[in-house]
Amino acid sequence: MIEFFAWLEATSLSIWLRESMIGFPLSLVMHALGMAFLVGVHFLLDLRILGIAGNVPLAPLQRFFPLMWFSFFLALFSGLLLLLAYPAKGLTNPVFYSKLLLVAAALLVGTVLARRTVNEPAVISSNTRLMALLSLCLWATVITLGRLLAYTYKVLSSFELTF
Amino acid sequence: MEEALLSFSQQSGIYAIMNSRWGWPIVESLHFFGLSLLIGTVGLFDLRMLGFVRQIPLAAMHKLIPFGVAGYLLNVLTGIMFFTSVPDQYLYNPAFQTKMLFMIGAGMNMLVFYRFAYQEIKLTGAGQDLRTNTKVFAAVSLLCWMGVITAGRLITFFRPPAHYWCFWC
Repeated sequence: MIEFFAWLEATSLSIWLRESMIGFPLSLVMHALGMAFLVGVHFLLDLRILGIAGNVPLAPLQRFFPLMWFSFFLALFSGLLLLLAYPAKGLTNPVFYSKLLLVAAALLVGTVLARRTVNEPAVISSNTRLMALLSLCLWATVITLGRLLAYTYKVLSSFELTF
Repeated sequence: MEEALLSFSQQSGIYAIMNSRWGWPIVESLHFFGLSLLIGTVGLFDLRMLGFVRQIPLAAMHKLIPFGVAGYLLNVLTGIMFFTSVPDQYLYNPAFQTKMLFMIGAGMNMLVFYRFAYQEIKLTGAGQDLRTNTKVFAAVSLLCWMGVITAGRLITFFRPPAHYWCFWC
């Protein structure tokens, strides 16, 4: 594993991300903007299902999903760049894997919510409402875990693992 | 200035929270939660104003704005917690100064919008489009909030002392 991290760190893209003026900050900005719109679209759907702004038609809200997916791929792409800059930092941290799992779970819940509301149901079941609340909590946890990545890492580079 | 802000932080107990083991990252997470709420309501309302997803009546969608305001207030509160705990890292930081300019831009845009264009929103139902002049408010709002996020994320990279590119520092 150490060799793999060292190989990633030695790629020219990884070096550029660490050493250029713009590589790392630009990736962080893309990640923040992507996350804001990714989570924002899910929050809007969740809030509406939970009964807020009841006269907003529910079904058209998922027309924002192409924007949500675009934001997801922007966050994924910039996230991969951030990971490539310091591969050992993220991949040795259990918080990183927890975040990935919860992102997958949150996207799954979001897909189910979209499917259940696509035909503009007159009554929203308590089960669906509970799932919207779960979605809100999952995204809030994803945000928190993402922030914690900057505070919980054990090593920055593979070199530190050789001791 | 810095002394006054810092002593406010210390006397109010904010300083102790921010310097506890998980204080800073937890408040950062709340700050990002608030901005996601703002983007999910105000940001998507702006997109509807620009003509996306016209199936949603704008008048009804405006009911979501109080949640954007709640996210904004959460971020003012958490923002004050960062700012007063290390005021010198923010006051002389060009990224923070740029962020504040975008905030002022978003705020002034909002005031003019509610004074001159809100009546049109109340009358805009499903399938209807706004006049081009009114759409300018949405474009300015969206650009300002994205500017706020961009400059905010860069605060860590432009800690004082001043940087060569910063012509006003």
